[in-house]
Amino acid sequence: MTDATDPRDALAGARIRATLDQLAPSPGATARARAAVSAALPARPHRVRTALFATGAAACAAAGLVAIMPRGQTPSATPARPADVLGILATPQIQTPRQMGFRTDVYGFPGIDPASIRPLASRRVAGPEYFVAATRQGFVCLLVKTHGMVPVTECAAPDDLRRGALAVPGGSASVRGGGFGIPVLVADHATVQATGTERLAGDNVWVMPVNARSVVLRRADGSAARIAFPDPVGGWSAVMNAPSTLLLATADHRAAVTVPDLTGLDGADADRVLRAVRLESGAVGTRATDGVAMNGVLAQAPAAGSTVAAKTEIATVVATPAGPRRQVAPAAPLDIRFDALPPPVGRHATVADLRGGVTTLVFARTAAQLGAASLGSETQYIGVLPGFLGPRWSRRGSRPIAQIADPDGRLATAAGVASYPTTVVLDNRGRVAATFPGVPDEPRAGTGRVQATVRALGNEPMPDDLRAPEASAGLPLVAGRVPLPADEAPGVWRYRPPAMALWRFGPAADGTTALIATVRTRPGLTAHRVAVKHASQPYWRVGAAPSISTWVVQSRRIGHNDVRVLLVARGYTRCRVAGRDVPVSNGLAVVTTPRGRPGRIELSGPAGTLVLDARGVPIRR
Amino acid sequence: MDALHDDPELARARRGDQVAIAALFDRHWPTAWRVAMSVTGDEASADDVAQDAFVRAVRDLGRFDGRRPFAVWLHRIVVNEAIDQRRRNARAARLRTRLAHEPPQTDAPTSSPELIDALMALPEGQREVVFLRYWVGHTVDAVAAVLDVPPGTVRSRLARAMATLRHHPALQSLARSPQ
Repeated sequence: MTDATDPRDALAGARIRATLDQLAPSPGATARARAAVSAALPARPHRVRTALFATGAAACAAAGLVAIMPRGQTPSATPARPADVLGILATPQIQTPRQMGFRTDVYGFPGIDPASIRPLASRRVAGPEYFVAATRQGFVCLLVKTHGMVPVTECAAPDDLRRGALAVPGGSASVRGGGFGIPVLVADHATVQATGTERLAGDNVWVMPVNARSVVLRRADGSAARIAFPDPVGGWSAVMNAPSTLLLATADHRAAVTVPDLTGLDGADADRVLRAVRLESGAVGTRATDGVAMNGVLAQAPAAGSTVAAKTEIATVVATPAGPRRQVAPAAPLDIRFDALPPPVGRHATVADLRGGVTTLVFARTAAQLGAASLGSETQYIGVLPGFLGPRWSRRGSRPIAQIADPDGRLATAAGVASYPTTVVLDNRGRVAATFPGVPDEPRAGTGRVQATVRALGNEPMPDDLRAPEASAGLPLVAGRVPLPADEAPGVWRYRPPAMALWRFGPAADGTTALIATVRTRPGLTAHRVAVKHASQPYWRVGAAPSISTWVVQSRRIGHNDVRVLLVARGYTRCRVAGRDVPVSNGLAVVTTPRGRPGRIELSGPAGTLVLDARGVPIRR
Repeated sequence: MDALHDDPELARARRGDQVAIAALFDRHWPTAWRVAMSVTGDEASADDVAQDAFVRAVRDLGRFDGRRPFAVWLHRIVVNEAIDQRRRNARAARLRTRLAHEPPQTDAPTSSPELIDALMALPEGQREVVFLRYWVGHTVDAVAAVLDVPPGTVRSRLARAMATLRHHPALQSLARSPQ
């Protein structure tokens, strides 16, 4: 090497160095860089990470426990902590949530600790941003921020994440080569193996194409497990945008879980917490209570801390507005005319039609007052005005706003409105349950006092005379069937609006169950819904119920077979397809045939014989 | 020469030992920042570039083969990161060091803010080699490896830069000194 230079240059170099030496990185920049480097540490055993980053005796004890465990085992007595499975949670938080782009205090899951949010470095410049966080209840969460400031978030217990993986169906991401996939969070050192699967962010987030069929999780301890389809009927594509936590079930998932404390949580938040630990929401009771947040959980059974089997239903009692409830009873019969898109426009109803569902009335004097109302995207409300605004004004964005003309103020008087604007919430018996001054200003779905009150009241049982309205009229499938008692309505899926009556079909031998519900879509108008759920699914698939006596409510391909879920009316007890008998269980049959060869369905019983085509439509009697 | 065998701390860092990585950071952060400074010419940008480069280096430690010194490998990453950033962003304002506003703490000829201005006024290529050669302390060959240019180019840039700087008042006394 020839570094010999002019001695004068050497002296000049020394002087240059002495001059430049006074430039140095600031201590703040050095500290930030040190933290960033810590956060970027390469993968290594849990015990190293835990011992290095965690502080306190508990952390040391946990680290020691992990260190002495034989390969492939995890401590059963001591539940894993979030940082045990996601080491990044134990690193310093370099940016505040606001600096990370969270402009609101809403993180998509109850109890998320803002100080725990850590960004995962994404491998893509564009596309969703991925964050991990821990909740105050000890869950680990994946936050996917695609649009706006509120992320799509799913959470799971650390022990479950160690054994399986956590998918965020609502945070769908594009995959290489086109199409969509589901982001999946895995614990440190675990990998996901499936055709087309791509590592997305850090080492913890993978995106799984919706058409992936065989998915293998390779855990940190080297063991592997095949990930079961979340929806054995529809596969991954069926769970896209499903509003539920989806914990990828593996064969050796824990059978028993500890019931979390739900007290004080909003009912919807309680549902999410239950799903995060693989429990299900059971019957929901109500208690009229003042002084607590509406729809907040007051009690639960089994109690928090008890150990139950996975998928056990947890019953809750939520707070509803305290009495007295006053019936809306105008002095004279009141004829209400609705004017809103979509049709029917100009429909007449009566005060009696206000029963059968929770009704939110916004009493306003002017269009400007009504126009200022904002009530999320899930809660319908009816504007009550002296006169109709006309179709042009009856929409807020794409949502139609039903209007009631109350020119002489009789409805306002009957509802106890003393000034305008006022918001009144009626319970499903048509009684005034709560009154709020002004118009609702709750643009975000699921937040705010009015929406919480509406949700809480939706859990109250229907009056007996409304529970089976015209049961057989227009709905032969439920003719002769006894509606479910109010307290047996499944809690994991609640109709919005609440069901006036529910009928259960099945369960079949494979656990498939169906429900048909009558719901009030608007005062005086009812509709029917059908919901189907397989035992392995954490959610119900909902659609419109048909008005004929038999119907294939679900048709999916599984492997080389077509699987159809068939509902049949009473009077048909036997089902044959392609010469084989298919059991009919409480009006439900699961028909499995080779793909592309559905065959005709023959029903018989006391009602006679019926031949159906592949869709369940009768061909001949 | 194998840097991995010669430097057990480096080997431990490659295995994810945080203590070793912390030591590595302490040892190499100042020079990484100087390299970033030599390319960006701006303190704030140097902070960002050096940090991002260090993070990248730590993540990619597994790819370091030990055939060249770790510092050269790291500084090459810093230079790449700086070039990337320069492509992304238009060059910000020229260096405004705090030295321009603070009284010199040593004798004037060796800590002249004007000298810094003169250094910053050098063409980019010349400034980089001057900084890397005299501030970071690399040999000519190492500078060539960091900048991915031939050693001859480094020497010629260095010679041109020094020819320019010799006329600076802070260095003129050296030029006149009999050596």
